Amino acid sequence: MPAPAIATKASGPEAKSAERPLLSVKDLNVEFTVGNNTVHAVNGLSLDLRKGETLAIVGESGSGKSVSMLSVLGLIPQPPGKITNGRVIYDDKDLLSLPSGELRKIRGKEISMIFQDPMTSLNPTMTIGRQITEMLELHLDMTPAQAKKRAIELLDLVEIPDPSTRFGQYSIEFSGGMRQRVMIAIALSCNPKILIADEPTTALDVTIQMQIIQVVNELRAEMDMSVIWITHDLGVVAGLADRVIVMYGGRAVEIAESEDLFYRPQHPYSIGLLNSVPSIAEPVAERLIAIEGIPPDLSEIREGCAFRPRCALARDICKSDTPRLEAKATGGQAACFASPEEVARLAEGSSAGQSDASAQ
Amino acid sequence: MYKLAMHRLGHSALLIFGVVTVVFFTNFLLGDPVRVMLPASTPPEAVEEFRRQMGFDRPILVQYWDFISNAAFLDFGDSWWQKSPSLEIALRPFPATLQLGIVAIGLASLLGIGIGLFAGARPGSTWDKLATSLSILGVSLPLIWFTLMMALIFSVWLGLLPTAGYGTVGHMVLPVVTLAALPLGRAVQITRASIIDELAKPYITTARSKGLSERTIILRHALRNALPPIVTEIGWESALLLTGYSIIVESVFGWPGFGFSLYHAILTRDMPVIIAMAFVAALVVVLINIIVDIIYVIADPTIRKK
Repeated sequence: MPAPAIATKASGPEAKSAERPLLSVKDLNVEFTVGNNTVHAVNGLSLDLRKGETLAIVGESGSGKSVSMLSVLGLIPQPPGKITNGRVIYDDKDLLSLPSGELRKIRGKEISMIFQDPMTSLNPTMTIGRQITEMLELHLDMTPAQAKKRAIELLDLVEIPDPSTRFGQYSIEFSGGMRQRVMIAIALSCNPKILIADEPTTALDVTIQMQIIQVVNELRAEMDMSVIWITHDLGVVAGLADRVIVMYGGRAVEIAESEDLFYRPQHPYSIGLLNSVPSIAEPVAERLIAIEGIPPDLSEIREGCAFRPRCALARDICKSDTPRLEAKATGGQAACFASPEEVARLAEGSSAGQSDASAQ
Repeated sequence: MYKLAMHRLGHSALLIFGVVTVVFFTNFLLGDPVRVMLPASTPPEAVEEFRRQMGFDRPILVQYWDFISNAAFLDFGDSWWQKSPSLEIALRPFPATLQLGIVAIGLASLLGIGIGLFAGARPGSTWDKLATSLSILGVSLPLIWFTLMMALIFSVWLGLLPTAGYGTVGHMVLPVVTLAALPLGRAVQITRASIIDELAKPYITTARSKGLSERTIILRHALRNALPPIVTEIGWESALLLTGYSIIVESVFGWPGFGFSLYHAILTRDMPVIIAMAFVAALVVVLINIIVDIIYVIADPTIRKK
């Protein structure tokens, strides 16, 4: 199994699992209803975020990774969205049942977010500076003068050159990477405990991606923050995550330390994902290996494992029963009925297959 | 920015020239001006004599050249009936119309944007449905019928307000209400649609993730971005109101304004006055467009940088 070849892995705090998690999502269900069609986007997702760690949520489009994290802050549009079940525990409070005024005090101040598309996520008719100062004035009761001073410091912190000039400019005057830096400055302005990064590098050039990842990583350590990084890019995960949650069909199918996921994946879907990553450490295979089949249609609840139609290890029980996350010998958890030996053989076999293909 | 402004001004000049030219020629299509000006019993020789005096016997292009070269210096000739400069006659009633128009458009804009924002912030709610229904009613009212019904109900039956005339606030109520109904309905619809569009954009999710209240999000973030179509619509309605709706409303309520005068000028076929009024109307449209452009720049400061 080749490891995706991106370096600078953040060294996260270790052996903190005994500590109470900073944020706990329990049995989250989210659905979207348009007309008669209901899409079950998130189905019983549970996860814990530990203090100081970077947790990556990985999955393909429609796996529910963004929706679940938007739900944490009550940011999905309702309607059509609806959170039908679950709790999100932060600081002994359930964010999902918090009055909107209370939740707003947490948004941006305790838990903040950066988004996928920096081109549209900033207000085009408001200066960059104002978009930062309004946060400082709201949550930290700063005067406009204090807020301006702090905002310029923040722009400097995310390494935007000439911050005092940039303060008065509009987002159209910034490149994509610079806009994402501005988004980070906004998100970090109130020293949040948690940063949720919703695919913040997807819309950027590869070189810029690494810069953004580095900025977040440095500031995470500096500000003692925990990060949830949503991505479909395993290269990004390798570069920065302590732990990884793999989502499929609105569920977590594997939770593991990021090393374990790369070297000892415990779910057939994780194996498929890892195999589909091109490796620059090895010669290029003629074709990338794709996971057969198509992502599941979430508009109906089916019994059984959502990955079954695409799974090499599928068996009868996968049709009738939905596998639950179970602790595996590696220390992680996976939701699969196949035995660890079978999974290990699949992992070896497919990686051998990839080596064969690349040897030709 | 400067280049754009000069470009717009050039356009405007061309527009006014075009309007005046078209109105000049269409006036001739409506019939022989001499016959209109003289009593039917005038002997033919006197008619021809008068035609020569007025210069109507010359080729039409010569007359046009004569007209347009004077018009370039704002001389549109004297009114046929009042024997005073027709531009003066066209401008004199304008303040009265402006008085009605500003109040009506101001009322329609403030109420319309307010109601539109309120409805657009909660689409699908009972309040939204109510606002939407009323706005459809507002834009569907046939103005002539609505004007007459208002006069009938409030002046004739209830006797609350004067039927017609000028001078007091009471005289203004019915003209303002009838003029405002349609622009108000449109303003509600456009504002609602525009704010719903804006609220679905990613930067609004960002604003929500910052912990801002819905009210702040709408007023500080969404409204400014939603403004261009609203301003365009209100500008368009202002132009229609001053140079179109006012003809009906002022005629019904006897309001001595631009519309009433235009109606009168058309009835009497007072050609120089009609052309002067068309000129004033075109000028008003151009001015409103300039105001709309200025508000665009205020609403979206990035336009300046493009």
